[in-house]
Amino acid sequence: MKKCKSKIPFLITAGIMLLFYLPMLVVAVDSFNPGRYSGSGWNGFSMRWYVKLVQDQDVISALINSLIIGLSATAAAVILGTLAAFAIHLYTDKVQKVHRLMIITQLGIPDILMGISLLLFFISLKMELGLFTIFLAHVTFCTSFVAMTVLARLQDFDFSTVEAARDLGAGWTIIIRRVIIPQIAPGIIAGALLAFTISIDDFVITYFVYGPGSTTLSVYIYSMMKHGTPVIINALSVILIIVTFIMAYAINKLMSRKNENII
Amino acid sequence: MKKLTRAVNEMIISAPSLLWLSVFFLIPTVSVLLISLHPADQYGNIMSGFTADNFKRLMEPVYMKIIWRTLWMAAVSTIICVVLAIPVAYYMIACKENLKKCLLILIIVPFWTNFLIRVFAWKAVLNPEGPLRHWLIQLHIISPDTLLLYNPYVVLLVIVYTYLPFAILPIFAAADKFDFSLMEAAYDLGATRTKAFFKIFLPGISSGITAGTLMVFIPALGSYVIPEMVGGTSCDMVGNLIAERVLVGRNIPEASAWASVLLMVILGLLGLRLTFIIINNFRFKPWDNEKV
Amino acid sequence: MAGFLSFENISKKFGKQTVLSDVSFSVEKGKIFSLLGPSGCGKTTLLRICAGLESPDSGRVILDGKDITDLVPNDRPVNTVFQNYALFPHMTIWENIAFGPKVDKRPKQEIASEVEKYLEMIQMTSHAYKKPAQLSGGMRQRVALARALINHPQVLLLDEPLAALDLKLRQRMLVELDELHDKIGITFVYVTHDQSEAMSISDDVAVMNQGIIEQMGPPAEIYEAPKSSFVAAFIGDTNFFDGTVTEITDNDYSRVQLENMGNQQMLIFNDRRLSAGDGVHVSIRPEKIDISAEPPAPDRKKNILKGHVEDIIYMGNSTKFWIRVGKQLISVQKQHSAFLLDQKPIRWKQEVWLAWHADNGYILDNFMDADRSLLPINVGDTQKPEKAQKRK
Repeated sequence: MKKCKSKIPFLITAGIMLLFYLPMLVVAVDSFNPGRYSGSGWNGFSMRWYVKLVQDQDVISALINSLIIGLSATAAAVILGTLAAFAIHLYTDKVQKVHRLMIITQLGIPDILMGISLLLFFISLKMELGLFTIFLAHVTFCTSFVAMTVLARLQDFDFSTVEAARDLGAGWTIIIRRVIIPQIAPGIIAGALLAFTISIDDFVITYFVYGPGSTTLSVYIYSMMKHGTPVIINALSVILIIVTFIMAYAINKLMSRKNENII
Repeated sequence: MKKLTRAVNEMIISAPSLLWLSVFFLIPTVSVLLISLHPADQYGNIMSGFTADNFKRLMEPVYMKIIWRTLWMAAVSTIICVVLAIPVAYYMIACKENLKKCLLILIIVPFWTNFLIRVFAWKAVLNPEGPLRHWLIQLHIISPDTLLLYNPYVVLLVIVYTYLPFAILPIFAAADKFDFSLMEAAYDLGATRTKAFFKIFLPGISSGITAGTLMVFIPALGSYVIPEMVGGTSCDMVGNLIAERVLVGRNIPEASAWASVLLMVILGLLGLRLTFIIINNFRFKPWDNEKV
Repeated sequence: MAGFLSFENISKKFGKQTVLSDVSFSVEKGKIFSLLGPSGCGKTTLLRICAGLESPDSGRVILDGKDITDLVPNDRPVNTVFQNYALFPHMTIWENIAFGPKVDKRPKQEIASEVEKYLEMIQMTSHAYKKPAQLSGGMRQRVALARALINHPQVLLLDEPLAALDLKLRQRMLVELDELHDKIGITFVYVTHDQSEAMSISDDVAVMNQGIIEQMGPPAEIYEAPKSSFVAAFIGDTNFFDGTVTEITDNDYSRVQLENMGNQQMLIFNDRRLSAGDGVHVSIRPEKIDISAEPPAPDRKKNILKGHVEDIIYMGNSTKFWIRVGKQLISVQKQHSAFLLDQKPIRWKQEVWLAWHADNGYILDNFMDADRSLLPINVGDTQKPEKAQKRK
C-alpha cells in the first residue's frame, strides 16, 4: 500500500483522537479529584467518589435494572436477530427484502421517534410502563443490531462447507452443530455483546417508556445531570468507559476474519 | 413438494423477527402518523375525527424557526463530520494492520460509550469552573465573562463529537475496499496527488460518503439530549419539542405531528437514496459487456 | 449403456435456463474421466448431480448397477473435492480429515490410525494441528483430497481441483493426482475448463458446450479427430479452412477450392460421403503444416499454398508464424529440433510456402461460425494480430 506523503491526514486523525479522548481524560482526572469542581484545582488523589458511588443505593438498583434489561433483551434479540439474519441471507424473495429494509430503517430512525412511537403504542394498549415495556423496546432495536452483525458474518461464510459436510455423509443435525454454528458463533457472540452494550447505554428510548421503579442506569445518570450532584458521574463514567473498551476489544477480536478460508 | 418445504422453512425462520418488528416498529411508527391527523382535546388526548390543525400549527413562525434551526444544525454538523472523516479514513487505510486495528477500536469506543457520559464529559470540559475556560481566560483568548456552554456552537461541537464515528466507520469501510493501484495509475498518468485524491479517491468511496452522510444527518435531525444539556432553551431543536409535548406539555397529537414531519424527512431521504441505487443499477454500464 | 457409472438422459434447468439437455454417457471403472468445457457449459452441474447436491429434472444416475438418482449425498458412495476445497475453517487439518469417519461413527481407534495413514499419504503429518487458513493452496488441495479419500468412495469427484493454484504447482499436483490414482485405483470424475489438464490426466474426455456433450473419447482422438468446430477450436489451436468440393478424386480424396485464399485448391481425405459442390469446413492444426522459404518438392497428396509472413512469434521451444494467404491468416507452428541460431531464419513479409499432407486436414461434422471467436485470430481479418507489436 502506498504511504501518503501528505501530513494533513495524519494531523487530522491525531486531532480527532485528541477530541475523542480529551473529555474522557478530564472526566477521569476529575473522578480522582476530591474537590467538587475540577476548576478548583487538583486537591490530591482520592477514591472518595468511587466509594460514594458503590454506597449509593439508587445507583445500585438502577444498575440492577439495567443489567436485567440488558441480559434479557440480549437473549431475546440473539434468537430473533440470528433467525432474521439467516432468513435474509438464505432467501432472496420480496418478503426478505422487506425484512431487511425494516431492519435497516429501524437502525436508521432517530431514537426519539422510536421512543415516542413506542410510548404512544404502549399507552394505547393501556400497558403499565415499567421494566417490561423497556424490555420490549430494547428487544426491538437489539434484534436489528444482532441481525446486522450476524449477517456480516454470514457474508463471509462459505456455504460450500455445508455441501462438503453433506458429501462426507453428515446429516442436518451434525451439519448445524458442527459446521454452521461453530463458524457463525463469533458473529452471534459479537452481536450479543453489541446488543448488550447498546441496551445498557440507551437513554432516549428508555426515557420515553420507563415507569416508576424501573429507573435504569442511563435514566439515573440523566436525572443526576439535570438535578442532583453530578460529581459521582465522573467515577461512574470511568468505569463505564473501561467496560466499553473491553467490550469493543472483544467484539473486534471476534469479528476479525483470521480464520477465514480463502485462497 | 420441494418448493413447499422451502417456503415453510423460510416462514419458520423469518416469522419471529418479522412479527416482532411489525408489532413493535412498523405499527407504532404508522400509528404516530395516524395520530397526528387526529384533533386533541384540552388535556392533549387524542380525539376522534380528522384534522390538519396539528400541521397548521407547525407553520407558525416560532416553530418554523425551530425547524429551520434543526435543519441547518444537522446539515452543518454533517458536513463537518464528513469533511473530517475522509482524511481520517485516508490515513487509516495506509496504516499498518496493527495500527489500523488500534485506531478502529479507538474510534469505536467513543461510539459505544454511554451517550450521556459523552455529553457529560463535554459539560465537564466546558464547565464555567472547568479547566478549558480557565486556560482560555489565562491566555486572554476569551474575556472572563464569556460562557462556553449554552450556545449553538457548543451544540454543533457536541453533535459532531457524538456522530463523527458514524461518518468515519462507513467511509473507512468503503476506503478499505478501494483499490489503491488506481491512485498509482493516476500518478502514472500524470495526476498530482491532490488531483488523484479528488478525481479518483473521492468518487471511488462515494458509496461510503453517502452512507456516512445519512448516518450523521438522520440522527442529528433527531437530536434532543444534546441541545437540552449544552444548548439551553435558545437552542431547541425539533427533538426537544417532541419530548416537551409528550412528557411535559402533553399534547399527543401535536407531538405526533412533529414526529411525523421528522419521519417524513427521514423516509424521504432514505427513499431518495434507494431510488438513486435503483437508477444506478439500471444505468447502462459499458464495462459489463464482457460478462455477456 | 453399460458402465460403472452411467448418466442416462440427464436434463436440468435453472429457472428458464437449460443447463443440461439430455446428457448420457458412462464411465468405466478405475478410469479418470474428464468433463471439459468452458464455464457455464454444465459440467459442474453434472458433477453436483452425481454427488447428490443437485437433482436432475429428468434422467437417472446409475452407479455399479444401482440407481442412486434419489439418494441424498450422505448415502452415496461418492466423495467430492470442491473447487475452493471447502475445508472447514474452524477445524484443524486432523479434524477435517476425520470428519467423514466420525460422521460414519467408526471406532475412535480406527479413526485415529486411518487419519494418520492419510496424513502420511499426503505428507502433511507435521501440519496435522494447523487450521486450513495457515496452509498454502497446494497443501489445502491435498487435505481436501485426503478428506474425501478416507471415506473409501467408489468414485471421487473433482471439481476444478487445481484452478486456484499457480501454473508450476498445478503441473506438479497433476502428476501427484495421477500417481495417487494409480495407487488407489478408484474411478475419478474430473471437471475442468483447462484442456491441457484434461488431456494429460484423463483416460477419456467429454467435451461439453452449452449443456450437451459435443464429443467424447480418448484425448488423442479428440485432439486429432475433432467432430465439431467447437471441439477443434476449444482444444488446442487450429485453422479453419472453408471451401467447396470441386471434384472427387480416386481413393476417397476430394479436391476443394478455397475461396478465401484466392481460389487456391487443396486435397483432403474424404471419409464422408461428399459430392462436388458441397461446402466443407476443415480443421488443420498449426503444427501439422510445414513452412519453408523454398518451394517444396511436389507430391500427389501434398497440399501446397503460397503466402507471405505477417507475423512471427518466438516461443522458445517453437515459433509461431502468421501467414497471409488471400484473405485468410493461417497459423503455423514450427518445433525447434535443431539449434535455431545457425539456421537461415524466415523473416517478416517474406514469401513462404506452406505444405501439409492431405490426411492432416480433418473435415468437421458440425461447424458454427461463432466458434471462430475461440481462435486467436479470425478468418478474413484484415487487421494484423495484436501480438504483431512484439515482433523483433
